[in-house]
Amino acid sequence: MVILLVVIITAAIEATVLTNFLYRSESVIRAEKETTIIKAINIVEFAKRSVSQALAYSFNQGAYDVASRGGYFNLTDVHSLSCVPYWREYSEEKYPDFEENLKNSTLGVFDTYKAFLNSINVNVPKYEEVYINRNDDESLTVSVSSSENLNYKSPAFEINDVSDAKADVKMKLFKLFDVGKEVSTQVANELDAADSYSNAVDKLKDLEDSLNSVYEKDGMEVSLEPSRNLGSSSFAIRVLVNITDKTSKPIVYDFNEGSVKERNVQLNFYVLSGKENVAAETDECKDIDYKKSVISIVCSDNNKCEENKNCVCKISGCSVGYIELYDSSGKKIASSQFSHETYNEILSGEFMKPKGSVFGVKLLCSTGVSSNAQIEII
Amino acid sequence: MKGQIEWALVGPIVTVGMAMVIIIPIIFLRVHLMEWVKYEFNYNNAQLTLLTLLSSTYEKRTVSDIISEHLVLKNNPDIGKILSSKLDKIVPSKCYKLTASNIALVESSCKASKYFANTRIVFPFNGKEVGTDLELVID
Repeated sequence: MVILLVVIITAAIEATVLTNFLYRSESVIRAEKETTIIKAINIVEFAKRSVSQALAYSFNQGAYDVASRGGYFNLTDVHSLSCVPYWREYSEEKYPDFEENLKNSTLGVFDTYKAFLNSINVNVPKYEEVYINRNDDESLTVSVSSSENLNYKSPAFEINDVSDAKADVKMKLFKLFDVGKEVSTQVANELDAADSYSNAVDKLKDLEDSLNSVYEKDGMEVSLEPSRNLGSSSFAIRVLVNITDKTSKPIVYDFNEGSVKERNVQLNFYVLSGKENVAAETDECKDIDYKKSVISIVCSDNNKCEENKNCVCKISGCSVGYIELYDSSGKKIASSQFSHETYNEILSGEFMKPKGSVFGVKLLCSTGVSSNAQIEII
Repeated sequence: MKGQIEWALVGPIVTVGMAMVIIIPIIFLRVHLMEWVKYEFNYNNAQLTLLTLLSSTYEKRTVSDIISEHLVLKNNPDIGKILSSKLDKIVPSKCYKLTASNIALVESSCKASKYFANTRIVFPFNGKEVGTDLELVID
């Protein structure tokens, strides 16, 4: 009887304790799931922020390149000299589709960020459309859209979020283009009205002063640079027109100078006219390849390599160069040369230790550019 | 009589033993999960702190833009001051360290080592690097 009583009491205590533990463990497991979801939401937020930031930078670069190429992105089908197009040759006017070219260049630059954005563990889709909304003369909103969502996948769940992104840009871009059209016509009129080369040069100087006094209040500067007399019997002049937006100075890369700094956006084009008809001097202008100019390296999954295992690094934009491995103190511990088209390079597993350590990886491309990554051993 | 008492004890001992076999793994599982949740909670806090920092603005510009532009042009001598003024407000312990590509952008006087958060930050187009890793350590 006593034994039975002890067994029953023990069983009751066990049942109570067990129920309690199971109930509390259930709460803990739920909390663990919730924190994992919050962590994933934060990662998606980081990705969305980065997409908007990359979009703004892409638009700045695209706008700078398109404006400096007279509103064109591709100059193969138009007359151009040193990558500056002719907007007017005597009475023949040819203006670019400025907005369309801006969209194409923005997408071109934005594509260079895609591999990098995907390495945040979120699948960023390919964007197909760019929209430019002119808020006023001074600012615009750029947005991109895709039919696919931003996607985060974990073994337990998946997050899908709209991939549309937008960025506000302060730039008088369309005003610059409108002013350019007006200036192009006025330059041609002055050249048509002149009776000699020196008279045309004087008229251009007066026009430049007058245009600057008009557009100064808008923060724009106009420069008219006449060529030498291109004619033989009478005169013909090629005028290089530069219109600069002095109100904004985005950080952009100049492909001619090969350097990055804060620069004003400048619209450049030629006007050719005079009393004598001469053919426009032209040369070939290569398209800008944004992807070729940028290199990046991402190792394994989000730069986390497994201990004692070979770690595959994906390289973009560089097919010949060196990869160097540095320890946490900055000491070089390995270096290897690569020359291939696969864009994959393997870091030997013998260096991938101990767990928790951090290494620096430097990609040195034969073109002279370099890129860094930091890998963690897990 | 003595033998009866010994037999009487076998039942409870077996029952308690069996109970322990079931309960102990659950206790271990729970302790492990509690630790995991605690770590994840603090990791999320560090992540949220980093997100808040990058989204905050200074003179109408986002801190993420200020950091990106500084990393490309190395032109902002006040970067440490700007970041510490923000982090002092959003890190309760006031112990933090923010690094980009292994270079410290800002570091508090006390050494932070407990909770890490990291992300990747994009650069203005510069013909070289697209972006880099950004890591925040807080206590």
